[in-house]
Amino acid sequence: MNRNRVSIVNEGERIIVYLSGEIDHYTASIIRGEIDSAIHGSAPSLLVLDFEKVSFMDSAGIGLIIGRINEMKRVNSVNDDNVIITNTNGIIESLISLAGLSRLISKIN
Amino acid sequence: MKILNEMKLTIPSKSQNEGFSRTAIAAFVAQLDPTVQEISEIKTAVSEAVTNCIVHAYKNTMGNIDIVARILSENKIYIRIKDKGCGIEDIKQAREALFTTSPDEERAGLGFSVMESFMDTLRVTSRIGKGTTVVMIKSLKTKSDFYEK
Repeated sequence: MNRNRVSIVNEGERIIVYLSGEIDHYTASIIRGEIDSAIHGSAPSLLVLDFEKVSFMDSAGIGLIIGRINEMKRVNSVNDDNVIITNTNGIIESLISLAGLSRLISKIN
Repeated sequence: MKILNEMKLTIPSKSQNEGFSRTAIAAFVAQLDPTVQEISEIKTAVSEAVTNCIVHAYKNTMGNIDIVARILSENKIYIRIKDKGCGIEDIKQAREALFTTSPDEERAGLGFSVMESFMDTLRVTSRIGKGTTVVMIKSLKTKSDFYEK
């Protein structure tokens, strides 16, 4: 159950993370490690988080997003948001909006 | 309000039970034929409450989480999630959006906000050292006649 696979496409300047399965407090800690090792490996200027294949998410997913925003700022030494969120469904969008992060949602891939 | 059906579930506060508990509640509620959106909202709210028990109530320890779900008349879902953990000092502050006691662990501080926005009512009672009880009620929009025969 809850088999999460994170598929990461590393283009150097840009890293695209295709999230899948269920994101909760338990799985978020596993996913976090995988994304962070990619970020630290190539210090990209943009991180894209694709939620198309995410079947469930709670506020742990928001913690995961906020944590990656901070991690991206750390490796780039900038204050601008360099994280884009894409392919979100209704519930995930509601959560993102509750967290005040709607500005990160991009409709284009 | 009449209780038409009821289930009880007791699980240890293992993180791995987050997925199981929300799926179990979703399966119980499914008899009322809710929409995909309603099921997702209930699952998310349950997940938040159960996670709170695991990461806050029984922080650094292990204890039982007691879950009761009821189907009430008029297509209402009642869910009670109870722990015997540390309790919440200031419930009002805990319910504030973005408030978290553990920002270092990437907590969004949205647990109660999510429960509040995805369910119709949220009641939180707590006693320090005794535990916390969360009661959530939601009216389903889809009307089922499952219990009317």
